Amino acid sequence: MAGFLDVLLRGAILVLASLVLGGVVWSRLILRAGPGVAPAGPIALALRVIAIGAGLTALAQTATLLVALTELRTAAGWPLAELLETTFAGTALVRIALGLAVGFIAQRLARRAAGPLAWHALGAGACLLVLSSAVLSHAVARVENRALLLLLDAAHQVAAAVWIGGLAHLTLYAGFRAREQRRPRSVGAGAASTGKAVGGLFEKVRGSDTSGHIVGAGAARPDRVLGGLFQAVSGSDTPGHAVRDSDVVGDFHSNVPDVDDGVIVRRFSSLAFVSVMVLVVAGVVLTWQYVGEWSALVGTAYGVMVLSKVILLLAILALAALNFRAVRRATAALDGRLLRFVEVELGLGITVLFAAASLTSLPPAVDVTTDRATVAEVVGRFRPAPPRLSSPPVAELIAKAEPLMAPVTRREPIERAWSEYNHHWAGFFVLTMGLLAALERLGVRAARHWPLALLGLAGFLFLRNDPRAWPLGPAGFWESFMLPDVLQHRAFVVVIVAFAVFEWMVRTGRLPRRPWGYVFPLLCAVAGGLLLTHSHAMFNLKSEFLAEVTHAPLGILGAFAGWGRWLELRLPGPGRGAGWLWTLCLIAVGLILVVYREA
Amino acid sequence: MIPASRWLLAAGLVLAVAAPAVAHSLLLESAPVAGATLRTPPRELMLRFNNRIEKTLSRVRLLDEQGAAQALAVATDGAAADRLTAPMPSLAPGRWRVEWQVLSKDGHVVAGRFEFRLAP
Repeated sequence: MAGFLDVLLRGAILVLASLVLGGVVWSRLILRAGPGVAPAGPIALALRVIAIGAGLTALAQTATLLVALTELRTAAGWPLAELLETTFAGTALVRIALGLAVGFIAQRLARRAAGPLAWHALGAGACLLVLSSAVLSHAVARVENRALLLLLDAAHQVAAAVWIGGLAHLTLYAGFRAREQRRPRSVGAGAASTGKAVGGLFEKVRGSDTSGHIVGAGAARPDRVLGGLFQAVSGSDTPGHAVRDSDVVGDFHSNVPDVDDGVIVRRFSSLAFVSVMVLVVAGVVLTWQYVGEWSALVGTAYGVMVLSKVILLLAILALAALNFRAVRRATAALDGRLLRFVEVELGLGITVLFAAASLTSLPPAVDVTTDRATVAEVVGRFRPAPPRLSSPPVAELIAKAEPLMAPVTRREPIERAWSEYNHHWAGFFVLTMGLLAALERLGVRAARHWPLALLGLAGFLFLRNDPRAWPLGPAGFWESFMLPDVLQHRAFVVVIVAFAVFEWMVRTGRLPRRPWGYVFPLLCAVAGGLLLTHSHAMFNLKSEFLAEVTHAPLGILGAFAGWGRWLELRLPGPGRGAGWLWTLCLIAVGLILVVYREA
Repeated sequence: MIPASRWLLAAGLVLAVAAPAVAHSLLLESAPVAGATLRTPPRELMLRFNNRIEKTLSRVRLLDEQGAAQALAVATDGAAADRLTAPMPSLAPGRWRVEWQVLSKDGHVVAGRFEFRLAP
């Protein structure tokens, strides 16, 4: 359980620290905030998010210390003094202090303008927060090439933070601008001085003689001024610069950059391009150092996780490339399609960050020599075989398997047969759903009830996932929750039931598509992320790795299905391509499950 | 007010999570070797891992066939950063189990065990 918490916390820290550093870079380089710039609008929003992210980073880092302390506790007591002397605790304490300091500075900057010292401190603190993460990675524990690995890891993490954190801030920025657009227009300086931006993000004023520059509140006219500095004025592509206090001519508009959305997006696009280049170069070298040879990429859990990360990254980059081209072509480029792609990039990016956290808990592939699987053995697990249609007897299984709470060091053939039967029938459920969803897409209205098949799947899995636990086995319902595997399986069951209920109600018109239609894609993406890193492997036994190697494509397909459905719901227009994407992913998941095998 | 869709997006992103740690620190080598049958009692236990270990927080214990455990005193200096050594007590013939728990430099706590046999 502690290991599970540790991975969760490390993943959360990666995401939160990305929000911090990505936010600082976003504020400074994209919004051009800096010394003397009074915070308002998107700058204040970014600074508040940085403050929250930094505070939560400190909190999560504290929790990692507590988790380690709990794990190290002995009958003699809590080894706090010894723990505080370790590299891990020392680094964690520095990061906690950095998180608190950055949070405090960002909060202050969000309230009022400050001089260069505060901004430099914010930037340095955020950089150190992410850079120090390398000291908690594999790199610091390696026996050889430690300095090189630390350097590469730091570069990899900074690039990821700037990119993924920047995507998060771009999404928040777009949300901010959309809200501003929805607000009713107010007239005159009085309304402007309340700090309400009116007009809007996506607004295009045709025939306006505004140039996108600051207009004094005294000269305010509702059709020209209140659209304001966030307005995307047709034909305007004003290079942005932050507004200094000395430039202030109006209460509201004085604090926000006079750039249109196209400029903002293009600036971010260039920054993201550089970040991705650094990320990929550092990632390739790190992979070579930790994996060592091609065969280890498919023959170890670490290698397969790296491959999964690469596939997810390629999907993100495909979306990013589409956006990159769109941004380069457009003059004012914050359109709906671009933003929807950004949301998916962000979602997949966060999945990659959690996968990276999970990667830190695996031994590098280069170290796994005796229990490494061959390429032929891995390929063999994907070769179709007839599904099992009858289950081994549960009494025999319980008699042969180790007790529930005992450490799992081996798996009996009957346990593998039990697991295969479960996977095959789960596959039939999913395949049925996928085919019905395809029929619905082709116009068969009765097929819209396909989500109800999930209730059958949930009941089946609850009964059979953990035969040593209640209701089939001797271990009690609550007792079995202490095992991370059982906890995860039951969490999956809850997710499946929620998925079934919400999606069926949405498809039959009992709930509106927005927001309840989003439950399906988000749960699907979550389940994909969980499955991607879900592992029973103990001591990295080859047989366990081979049993679970099919989880990686299932997880990736799950994530793609979720975000495909998200795009279908969010894209302007029918989104047929995205719709077929998730439908085909569902069918593919069903097919893989039906031919799943563990031996 | 923040739309429900954004709450759902945030919840989904937060929940897109990972799984339990498995075996970060890998035991690469040991003396006695795992599964070995020894003719003479070992004087020292040596464990070599795939990464650097915080020795002051590493624990090793030895269990006999009945499960009676005794903690071994791990040397905190001298050996390489990826190795643990501990003097062995005098052992009676039979099957012995070594259980170890280490904290790696990057903060992962990992435990493991192996057995060896001392011939009569």
